[in-house]
Amino acid sequence: MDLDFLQSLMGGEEMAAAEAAYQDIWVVGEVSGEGLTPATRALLGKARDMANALGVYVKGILFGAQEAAGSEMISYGADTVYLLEGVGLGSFAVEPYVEALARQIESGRPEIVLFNATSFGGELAPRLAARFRAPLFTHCIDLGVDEALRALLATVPRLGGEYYEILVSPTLRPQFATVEPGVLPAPFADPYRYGSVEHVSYDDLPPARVEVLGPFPEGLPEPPLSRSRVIVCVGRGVGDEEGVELARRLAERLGGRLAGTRGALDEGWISEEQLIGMAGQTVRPALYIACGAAGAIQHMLGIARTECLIAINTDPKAEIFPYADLGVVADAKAVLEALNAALAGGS
Amino acid sequence: MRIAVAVKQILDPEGITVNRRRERIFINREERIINPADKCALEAALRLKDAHGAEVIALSLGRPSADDALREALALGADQAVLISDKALAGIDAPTAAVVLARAIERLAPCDLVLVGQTAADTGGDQTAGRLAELLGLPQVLHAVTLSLDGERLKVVRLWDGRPIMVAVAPPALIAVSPLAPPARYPHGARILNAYRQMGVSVWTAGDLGFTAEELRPNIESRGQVFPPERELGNVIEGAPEQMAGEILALLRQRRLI
Repeated sequence: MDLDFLQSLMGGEEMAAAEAAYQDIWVVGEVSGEGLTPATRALLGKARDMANALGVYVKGILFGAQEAAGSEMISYGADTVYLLEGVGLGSFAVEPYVEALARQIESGRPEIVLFNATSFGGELAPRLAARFRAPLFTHCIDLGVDEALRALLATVPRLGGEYYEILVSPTLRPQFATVEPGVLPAPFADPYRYGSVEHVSYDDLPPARVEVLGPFPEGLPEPPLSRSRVIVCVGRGVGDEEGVELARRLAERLGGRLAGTRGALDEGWISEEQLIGMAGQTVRPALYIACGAAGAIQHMLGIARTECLIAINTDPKAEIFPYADLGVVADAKAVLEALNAALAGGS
Repeated sequence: MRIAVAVKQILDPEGITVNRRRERIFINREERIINPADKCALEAALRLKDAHGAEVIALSLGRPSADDALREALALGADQAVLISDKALAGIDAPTAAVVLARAIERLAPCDLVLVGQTAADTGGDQTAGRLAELLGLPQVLHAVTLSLDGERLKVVRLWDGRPIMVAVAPPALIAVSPLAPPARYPHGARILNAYRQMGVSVWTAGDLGFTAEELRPNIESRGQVFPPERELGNVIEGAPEQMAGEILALLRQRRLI
């Protein structure tokens, strides 16, 4: 066995050089009210596992003098935390944040930089990836490492999550990824973990070029029903206007829209645009709650691509049940009332 | 005002079925459409054109069939169309695609606005907007829902983690339009004919933009697909309403729907 073969097995000379250049896994954290966001904690846990596999350090990044959140990062798996400070880093703005992070990455040379796939991460990650002409994997639902290549294995959703693809960039470094909040398991905190929190200060950062004028209170133009993520559908079985109102409130609570069957349209509870099915709209929501709908074929055709279907009906033989992820034999109005009460009760 | 709109032609997701049990993807109907978010971006550009007058240039990076997507853009009201198409661009990865698009937009300079769709419905890609903004040195507004010109500045209602906020930016800028923005209009019949008979689509090759095949080589590989577990249907439960509500909420939490 000659040396070349061994070297190629170990990844070759080129890889050895790259290894020396880029190492460590960085997590760009987010802070909400009382500490790190749950997604940031989970990301740290994942980064810790990957760092153990690669034999490198986990480093956390926070903006502003967030000492408490910094030590929290250490308890969840970071070895070092950099608190980036400077004029313009007080509140979020793309230009100064990107510049500060880019300088930090240039000097620290991490091999992997992780963000949450929130608006915060979504603003920063693509710009940084472009600056380093590096790969970026967006909205990952899982991460791993290829230990032979020392490369990130990113599982990204395709066709809106109908299936997933595992992507890898064998040579380009650093590697960036944004991870969908809520998909990674919550790690345990170890308050006795040792690590250091360092303040890093940057001056002469570029000013923000986009001015935030504040929240937009007026209602937005409603997206069409066909693009709604959550739909609460009423059928004749909700009984009366009161049941429809409960369904409407549930839809609002879940950030969705109210729709209905032909029966509900005939009763005058919904408008023509809210009709689901063959004569109305075809939808593909992530969640569809059918209240008091029997499951006529005309209705079912419109919701064939629903990701999660919950059906509530008093009739245990209702045609909708075999198609439902969860069928509930109960009075729709009573269940709607209980759902609204449970959601209002601070869950 | 000169507005460049980048549109991507994708396979219509409605024509694709994913069989989770057999772990296979079936393309039942090979129909190519403009990526929905990109179409919203086109609509946003056309609304600015209607209100204030503007020159709208649609550009697309893709296979020769993307010509149809650009003709559709012309039929909807775009003034010019540019197709960047080349054998060397087949299988291009996201980092390089952004570099190619950025150079094409530089060639169309000066553009006051660059509009793109926020996300691609097929690959789920959510990075071209930010990459283009960085490469072109422009300020960015992502997840835009409505745009309006207010004097010299552009006022944009955008979503921040799902909540609408109002921001202002002075052109030149890059705006990524959310797929939740107002959908595109329908083209006038006569314009559809004109788009094919009278209007032209310029075709630029990788060489025209000064790229060599080596620079365009993809650096990202697929290690295969993973399929979510098959849906288990027909699970029926019965009980008191409060208990049922609890079961429903438990399922919603488990599926991360709340």
